[in-house]
Amino acid sequence: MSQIMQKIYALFRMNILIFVLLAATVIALFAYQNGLDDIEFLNLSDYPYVIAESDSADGGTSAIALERTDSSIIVDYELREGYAYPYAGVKIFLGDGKTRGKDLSHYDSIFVWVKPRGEGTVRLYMRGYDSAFYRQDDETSLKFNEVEFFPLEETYPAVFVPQEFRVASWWVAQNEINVHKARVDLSNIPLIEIQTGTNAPLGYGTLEIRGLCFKGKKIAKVDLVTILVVIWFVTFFIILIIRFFDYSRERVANKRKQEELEKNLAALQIEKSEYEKSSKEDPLTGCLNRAGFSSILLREQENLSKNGCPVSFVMLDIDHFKDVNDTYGHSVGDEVLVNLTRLIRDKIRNTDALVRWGGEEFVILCSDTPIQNAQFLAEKLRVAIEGATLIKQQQVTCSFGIAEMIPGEDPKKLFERADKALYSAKEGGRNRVVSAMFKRR
Amino acid sequence: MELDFRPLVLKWKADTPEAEADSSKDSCVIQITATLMREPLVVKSKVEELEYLVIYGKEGEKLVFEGFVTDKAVSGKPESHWTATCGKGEKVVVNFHNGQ
Repeated sequence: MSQIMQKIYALFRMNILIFVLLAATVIALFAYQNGLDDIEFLNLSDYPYVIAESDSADGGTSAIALERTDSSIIVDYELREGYAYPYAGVKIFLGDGKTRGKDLSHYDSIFVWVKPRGEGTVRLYMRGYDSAFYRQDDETSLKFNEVEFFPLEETYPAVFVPQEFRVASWWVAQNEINVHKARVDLSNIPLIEIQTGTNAPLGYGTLEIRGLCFKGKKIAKVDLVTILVVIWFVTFFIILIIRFFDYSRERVANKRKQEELEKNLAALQIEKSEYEKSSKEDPLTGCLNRAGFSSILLREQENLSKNGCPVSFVMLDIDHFKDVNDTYGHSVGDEVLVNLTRLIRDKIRNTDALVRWGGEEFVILCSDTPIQNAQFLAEKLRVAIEGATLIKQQQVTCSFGIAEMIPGEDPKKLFERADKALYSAKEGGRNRVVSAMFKRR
Repeated sequence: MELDFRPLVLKWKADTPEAEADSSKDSCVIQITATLMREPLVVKSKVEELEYLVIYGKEGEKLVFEGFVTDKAVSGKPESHWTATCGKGEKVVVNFHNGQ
C-alpha cells in the first residue's frame, strides 16, 4: 500500500507543488481584492494640528474663525476684498509640517468630508516636500499638489485618486520650475490645506470639515505581482533542480541496472556457450558427439554441393574392445578411448572433425579430401595405432571403413557405405582399411 | 547405369627401408589408390571384395609398385595383378597383367 502511495506521490509530487502554488496565488489575489486594506482616517475633530488660515498672510483682509465640534471642525469666514484671490481655510499639519511629512503615495483613493455653506469650489492642497525646491522656513516652497472641486451638499465624501491631482501652475511659474520636474508627488506630505476655491464669492461662508480618509492596500499591486512572479520563478527553479537530480538519480540507477543486465547476459551467454559445447561434446574424450557432428556435416554437404569440395568419411572401430573391457575393466577401456583420441587428434588436420560415434566407434569427417587421401590417412592411422602403446596390458588395433560423400546424397547412405566398409574390414580380419568404392553395373 | 559400391583393400608394404623413406611415397600411394578406384577393370570386377597386397621398392629415382590379389581363388582374373611406376612429375599408369 505504502509503495502505491509512494508511486502516486512520485507521479504527482511536482504537480502538487504547482497546484499548491496556484492555490496560494488565487488566495493572495482574492485577499488583495477583498482585504489587505490600509485605511487611515484623519478625524479633524480631535486632530490637534489643525489651524485656520486666510489671505491675511498674503496681505488680504478676509476674516476666519475655527470651531471644533464632536464630529468635525467648522470654519466660518468672511472673504473680503484686499488680496487679489481672497481665500480662507484650514491647514492640517502632518509630521513636522516642513520637511518630514506623511507618505500618501501608496493610497489609491482619498476621501474628503467637506460640507460647504456657501457657493463656489473648494481647493485641496497636498503640500509636498521636495528637496530640490524646498527653501528653509519658506512654506510656499512646498509643492502645491492640488485638486479643486465642488463639494457635495450631502454628507457623502468627495473621493479622489492621486492621478486627479495637479501641481498648481502658478506655483510652477513662480518658482520657475521645469514643467517636467513639476510632477505630482505624494511621497512626503507635511501639510494639507483645504481652502475656498478660485473666485469664491466675497462675503460670509462656512466650511464644515469632518476629516480625510486615505485608503489603499497594505501591499501595492505591482509588489504583489512581483512577489508572486518571484515565487513562481523560484518554485519552477526548484522543480527544475529536483527534476534534474531525479533524472541524474534515475540515470545512475538505470545505468546500474543496465550493467547488471549486461553482466547477467554475459554470464548467460557463457553458460549458453558452455552448455552448447557440452551438449556437442563427448565428456570422456572431448570429441564431438553426434549432435555436434550434424552441424559440421551440413556445412560440408553445402561445401560439396556449391564448390565441389570432396568430403570423406572415415569410420573406425577398436578391435576386440569388449574383450578389453571384460578383461581389464571399464577404466582401462576408458583409457584406451582417451589415448586413442589423443593419438588420432595428433595425426589429423584442424579442419577434420573427430566424432565419437558411440561406444568404441569413431568417425573422422575429412573436409576437402577425396577418398584416396582419406584411405591414405586411415592407413597411416592404422599403422600408428598398431605401433602405439595405448594401454600397457595389450596391443590395440582398429579397423577402418572409408567412404566419400556424393553431392545431394542422403547422409544415411554415406554412413551405411562407410559402415559396410568397416564391417568388411572386421570380417576380413580386423586391423585393416577398407574403402567403399563405386561399382558400376 | 546403377551405382553401387564395393570394398577395396590395399595393404602397402615396402621391400626396402629406402622405399619406405622415399619422400614421394605418400603422394604415389594416394595417386595409385585414386587410379585404381577409377580403373575399369577394378570398377567392373565381379569380385565382391578386392584386396591387394602392394609391394613397392625403388628403381633408380622412381618407385615401382606391384599389387597382387591376396585371395588365391581369384588370382587368375585380369584385375588380380598390376604394376605401376611413380616418379616426380609423371602421371601414374597402372598396368594389369591379366593374371600372368
